[in-house]
Amino acid sequence: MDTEQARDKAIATPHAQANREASLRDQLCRQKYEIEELAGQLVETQDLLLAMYDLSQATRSHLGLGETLRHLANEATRLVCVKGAILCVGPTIVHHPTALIDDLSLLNHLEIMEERGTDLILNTPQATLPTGITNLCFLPINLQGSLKATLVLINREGNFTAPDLKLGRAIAEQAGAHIEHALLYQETLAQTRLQAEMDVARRVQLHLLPQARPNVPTLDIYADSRPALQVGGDFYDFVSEPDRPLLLLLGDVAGKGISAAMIMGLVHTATRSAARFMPDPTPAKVLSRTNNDLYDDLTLLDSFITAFIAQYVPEQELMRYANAGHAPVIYRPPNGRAQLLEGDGIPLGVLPMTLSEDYTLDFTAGTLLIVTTDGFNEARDPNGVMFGYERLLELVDEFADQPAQVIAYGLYNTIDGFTGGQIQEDDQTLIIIKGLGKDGAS
Amino acid sequence: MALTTRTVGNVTILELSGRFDAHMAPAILEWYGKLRTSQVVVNLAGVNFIDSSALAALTGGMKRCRQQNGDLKLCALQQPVQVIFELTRMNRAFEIFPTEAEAIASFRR
Repeated sequence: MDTEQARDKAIATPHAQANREASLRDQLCRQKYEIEELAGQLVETQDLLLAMYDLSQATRSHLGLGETLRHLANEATRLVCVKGAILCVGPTIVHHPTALIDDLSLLNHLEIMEERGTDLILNTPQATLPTGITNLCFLPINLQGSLKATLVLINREGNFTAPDLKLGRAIAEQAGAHIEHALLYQETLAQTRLQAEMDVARRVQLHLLPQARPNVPTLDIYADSRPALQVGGDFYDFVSEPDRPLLLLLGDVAGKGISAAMIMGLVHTATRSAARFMPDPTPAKVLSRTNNDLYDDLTLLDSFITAFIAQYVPEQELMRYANAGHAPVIYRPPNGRAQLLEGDGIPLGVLPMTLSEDYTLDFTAGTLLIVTTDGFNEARDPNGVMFGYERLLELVDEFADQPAQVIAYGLYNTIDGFTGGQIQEDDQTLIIIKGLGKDGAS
Repeated sequence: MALTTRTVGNVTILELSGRFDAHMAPAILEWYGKLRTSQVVVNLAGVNFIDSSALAALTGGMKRCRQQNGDLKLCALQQPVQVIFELTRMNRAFEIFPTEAEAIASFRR
């Protein structure tokens, strides 16, 4: 029995040893394979990191969107070893080095990718591809906001494989960060430009407004202009020359910003020169001459001006006026009700003639003439309801007994209360003229 | 704001709707650039608001057409739009008709 067991053992032992050796060899082989695999992955990761580093370095100094996209496409082509790349960001499409694929095929494939919501790889011979194209890889780029972006890689030697896809995805992710940076830069630049333009426009406007009110013993005059964030083209002016009747004018240039400010400058010069140098400058004549002077410029700039001019005749206690399409002009006789004075003339710059005539108002003690721009009547409350003319007339009646400046404050405060602290959409400009009578008492 | 165009004989009809303001004015000015005729009717039946930029855009078109011996006429103004034309007296500068048919017919006079 013992010998039998010993014999069996002797036979079994070399057999078991052989088994053990085989399993060890297998284990070694597996581990060697795993180490090779790991080393391969490490190299790949290092390559990827190096590629990302290159990409960052190459793109860092480019700030504009177009420039950034061109460089990203160039780097993607180099790093993934493809013949060409395309970057699509919203409506902007950048090809590198040239357009290898036509727009229609590109857009069709983008649509397919969008429907899938993930990468799209088209390798030959499985996929049907446009002529000259052997394979395509579409990689979505995640951007914040609604803008869609895609990286397209074209013609990889051989075909696109899993490592290519991995590298491509990493590039797409990096590209996303760079594109967002470029978009942000673009937006900031546009805002800065707009801000600079608004500042210039506002400076021009403020510079053109008179610094002092004319001193006429029989009139109480107040004028002011509150420019909106984007300058709206309102202006007022007084022209007071020795031995000439005082002219008061207020107007509104159609349009906003720098062009409105430029036109304001033209009107300022034209009306002043007309008022100073015409032999007998009545309001209608000044409007007509200003229209002649500015008609061609206003045609070129696609703009027009509504303007109101008044001329005070102290000897007769009269106010002569002419209106080129301006509203609202409010007249309130002493102890009467405030009413809108409708104009007859068309705005300046619309036709070669103005069709404005001179009219006169009695301007004895207590008479009020208030000319504002539409920034008052078109001001809106938080529900979008306009202030309107009716409320403006009631307000004038309410404040009529007050001095001109108090009336102005009353109007501004009431409008501010009405709009409830919303952003002022348009300039708010006014001239208030109150007759004091010959003894100068209100 | 929407913009559609049609042609009736030699007259081009521009139909607008919605708010006609500073946002729409550039599109109108661009549209004039492609215009082949100088006889235009702008149908404002669908326009419920108009501002000074819009008036400036219409004025620009009217001047271009008149320079080429044509005209830009308006029709079917809603009440709030009509009021703006009256206040600014632009109704004295434009030919305005109650209906599109009348505006088109006026070119045949």
